[in-house]
Amino acid sequence: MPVTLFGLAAGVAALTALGVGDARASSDPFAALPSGAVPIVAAAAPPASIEHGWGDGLELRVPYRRDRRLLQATDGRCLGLVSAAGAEAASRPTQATIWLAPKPGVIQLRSERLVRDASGARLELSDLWIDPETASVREFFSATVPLAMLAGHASGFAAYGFRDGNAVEIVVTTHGAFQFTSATGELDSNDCDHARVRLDASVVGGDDVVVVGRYDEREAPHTLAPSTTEPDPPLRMWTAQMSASASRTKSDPAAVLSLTMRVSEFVPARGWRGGM
Amino acid sequence: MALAEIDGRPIAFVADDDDDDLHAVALDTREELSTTKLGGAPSQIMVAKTGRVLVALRDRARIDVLEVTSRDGAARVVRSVPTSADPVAMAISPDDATLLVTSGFTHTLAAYRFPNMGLAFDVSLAREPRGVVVSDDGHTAFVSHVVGSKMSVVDLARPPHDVRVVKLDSVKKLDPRAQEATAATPGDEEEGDVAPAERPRTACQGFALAKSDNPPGRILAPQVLVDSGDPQQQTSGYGDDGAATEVGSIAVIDASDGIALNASLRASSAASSVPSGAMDCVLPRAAATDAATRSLYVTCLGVDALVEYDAGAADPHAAERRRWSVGAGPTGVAVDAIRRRAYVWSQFDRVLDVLALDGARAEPPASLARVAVSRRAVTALADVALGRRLFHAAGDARISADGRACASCHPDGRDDALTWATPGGPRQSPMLAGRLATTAPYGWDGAGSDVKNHLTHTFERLRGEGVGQAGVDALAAYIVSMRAPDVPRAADPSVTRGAELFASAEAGCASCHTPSNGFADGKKHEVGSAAQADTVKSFDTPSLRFVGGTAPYFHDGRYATLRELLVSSDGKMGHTRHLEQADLDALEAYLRTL
Repeated sequence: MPVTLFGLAAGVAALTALGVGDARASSDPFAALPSGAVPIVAAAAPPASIEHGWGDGLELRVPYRRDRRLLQATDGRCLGLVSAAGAEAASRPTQATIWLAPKPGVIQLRSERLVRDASGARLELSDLWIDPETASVREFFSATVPLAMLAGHASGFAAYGFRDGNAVEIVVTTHGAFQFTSATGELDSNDCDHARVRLDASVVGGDDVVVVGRYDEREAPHTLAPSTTEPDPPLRMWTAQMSASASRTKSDPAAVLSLTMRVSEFVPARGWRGGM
Repeated sequence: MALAEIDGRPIAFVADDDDDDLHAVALDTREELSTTKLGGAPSQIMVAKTGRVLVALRDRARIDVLEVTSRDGAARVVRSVPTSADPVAMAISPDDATLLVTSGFTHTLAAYRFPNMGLAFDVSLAREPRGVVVSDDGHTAFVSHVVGSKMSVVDLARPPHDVRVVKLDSVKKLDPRAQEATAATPGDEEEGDVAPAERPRTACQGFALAKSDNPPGRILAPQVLVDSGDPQQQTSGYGDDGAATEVGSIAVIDASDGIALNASLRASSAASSVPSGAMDCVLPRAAATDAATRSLYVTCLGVDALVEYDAGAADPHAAERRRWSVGAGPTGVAVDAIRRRAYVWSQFDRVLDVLALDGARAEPPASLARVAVSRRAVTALADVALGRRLFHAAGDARISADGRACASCHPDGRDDALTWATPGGPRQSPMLAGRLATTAPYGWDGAGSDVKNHLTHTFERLRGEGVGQAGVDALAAYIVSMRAPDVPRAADPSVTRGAELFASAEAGCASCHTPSNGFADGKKHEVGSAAQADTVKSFDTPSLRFVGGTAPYFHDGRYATLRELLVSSDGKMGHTRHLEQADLDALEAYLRTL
């Protein structure tokens, strides 16, 4: 009786299904990613003062403590104060605190914004001078990094990326309450509209990150809704998780990128008061 | 289970270890075609490229080679090949020249040459080997282990067929810059990836193993990372009060050098990567890959699911794509890459689920069809069947508060080789299968007067809500029915001499480990073995049945091997240190036959 084993299917399917509960990236997009790099922030000698006016998307607020100012991004961009040594502060909040004591002065800021429009997605980076005395802001450097979409969900949760040598940088939308595991495996949080994480494929043993969060489909991220008499549409909330990794074994001709996204509707339990 | 075509018709062969049957199921019409009675309990089946069906018979210590005799898949045995006791898994080399067989309790890997199935060689492995896969070049075999945080890497190409052990304990991920700094510190290289503050977790439940073709060269080992707590501390339950005791994991091993990717051994990410509302896969039992979608499929006993992971992820457990609910007790999975189907055999429900791998993605994904497989009524014992489900129930609040199952600590009814921190001090998990008859009381402190009584107390310590009297009755029925390993008992002068020594008054073994009483005496003794965290000093005499395969020893697992026990415990329970080397060998040989 002729009994045979099943053969193996040939070819690799690139799946980009975006249905609820499963949004899968193509099988190995590493090589197809656009090349790019986020420019290193260069510490520059600040001007003594600037008189330039204020820019869109930023507000300088005076809190109850008079010894500081709060710089607030109103368009979801991520802000990072730059120290005198040039090191970039964590670029994940939308808010930066500017201390006026012991003396106010012009400070340097890195602004990073995820832009998604008909032409695609990109990161827009700006280095700015902020003068809290004159309430002025002046851009002195800008750059754009094109992004490729890796995976996305109909609710808006999406992941983008670009390749930087042996590393891949993942940019994931995070408007809402998000957490992610840092490079040390510890939880970190985020409140601007995206998180950018770097995976180094040359790290022995692989490099990976998990981003977990919850977001509200009704509200556009970090924008103030105009007043209206229309009733609010039904609130839909989603929980989202993105796991990404880069690894390379001796058999791999190039680094293998993995990106898995899970999105499901979040139904609050009775008595839920917000939070993760 | 295994897939094949008979005259072009797709067939699933299902190994049924309840009835010792081989079922053939037509995958086009989704009906059972035939049942072939086997000569014992099958642990795995394969279809060789010759069209012969290979069946490992776990309780008969042999491989039967079957020839299919009709279009309905009925088959007859054409050859039987003796193996070491407890054959559990098989693999065929890429050149179709060699069959590899792992034997669990006797911890061996044996190679047989086709077509005559002569034994080419065998090697001894660590405890409880299970799954085996062969590298693409045929030079290396990778073997998973149910206990002990190990994967064995066996050189198939050259005698003496060296065995290398890859450790699969958890590691803590460090910042790459910190890794560089640590690696630069002389003498610290061995501990470079492990933070001192994080207790390494032990890998268990290594039943399944798969080799990835996309990306190539990755060995994927579903497992569980266990934190059994600090045995020097008293806890309120089993394990660390503040940590999840068991988290799923999928170790990734580079087949070219046998080194595990550290990212796949991180318990911290494993704990956070399970979908909201889903139970972690803490009892993985079978695995298969699909190159077309770069997928790894794992069946999860206890939660009755098939989970799809990205096989190309550095940590596949963190890259779960979707999961299907399947019949209870999924123990086998096979992928038909051409027809884009996965098939899952669920032993407890006795059904074959047909799953579509492509197409619309429903939420949750559903089975396309479920084919029921026949059962011989004579073996259908309701209590035992219910008890088996309860024994493997994970995420069941009746059993435990943290989701672990009975089978978590007693895989295959045996033991996890771990010493747990408990309210009473350190306690090594005992083997259950074949050990409970005539060995009451139970528990190291002898507090369980009978099996049911001990079960009730165990649920309390696990903070389980309890399974009710009917559940306890069923569990007890199942536990005492569990199949014991088939221990080799060859007539050997050394074994005879060992038996004499065991019974001698000078050695004093048999005075407490009474052969007629399951090698126990039902009493507690103080043998000077209390550890720092122990609340009592006297312990129940453990049965020595299957003692050769249940290391480590003593209630706190202080002795890693039988030899260490015999040499180092002198005076605590009898006297063995004075024995000559030959007598020590003989006594150990005898103990391994119990």
